[in-house]
Amino acid sequence: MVEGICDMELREIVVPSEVSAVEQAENLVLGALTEQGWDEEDLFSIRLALEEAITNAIKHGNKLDGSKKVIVRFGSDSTKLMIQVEDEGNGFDPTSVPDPTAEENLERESGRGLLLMRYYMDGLEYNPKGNCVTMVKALK
Amino acid sequence: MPITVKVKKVPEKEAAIVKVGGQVHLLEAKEVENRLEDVIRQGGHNLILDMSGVNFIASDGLGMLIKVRGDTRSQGGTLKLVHPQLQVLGIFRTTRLTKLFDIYPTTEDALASL
Repeated sequence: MVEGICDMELREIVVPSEVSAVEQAENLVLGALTEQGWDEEDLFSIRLALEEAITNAIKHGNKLDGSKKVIVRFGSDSTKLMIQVEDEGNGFDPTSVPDPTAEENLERESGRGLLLMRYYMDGLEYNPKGNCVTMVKALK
Repeated sequence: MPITVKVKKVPEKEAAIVKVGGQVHLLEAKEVENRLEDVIRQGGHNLILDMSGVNFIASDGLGMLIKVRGDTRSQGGTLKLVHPQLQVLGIFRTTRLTKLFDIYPTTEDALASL
């Protein structure tokens, strides 16, 4: 699913585990994409998935520990964008996240990030430890 | 990017129309929640949230709206959403939160439903 990323030249951003850093990191990545032919709809989807991934990494991965960092890597070629978000936490099992669209979970205040990342990107894969997510968006 | 929050009280309906504008990221979600809680505390337990100016929201913003919905309901009131932009409405549909929230095309429609 997440293929071909080894050939890409990747940029890397180191993000502190602070909620104020999420939007700054998004703006850096999105700023680099605006001249590459992505339309508004794609940029909205990418921003949303990136926000969910970095927020998860800071809050649930690094548990807001100021001594820990989040690394965002991204790169693109003529057909796709790849974004990778890695935290310094213990990882998690993405299959253990309850379905937030199930009737009994609709009133839960959290737990929708992974669903949104999957829906708004074209490919998503966690490493075996569960502390690094790789997402792909295809250029239309 | 800063958000804007404008409040208009409608005492005869024990309601308040709150218009939020901008991008509701993680930090802004907390800011909007605080403003809405203030409005509820001041008696506006029927909240009409005009979302026509919101051009981005993520899961923390959705969580905030679910919490505020619960707060209005615990006061015997309600939270109604008005005219989310197409991409924002798409997020509500993807998460099936259109089942949880009453969404109206205009603030007048939302007020009339009270």
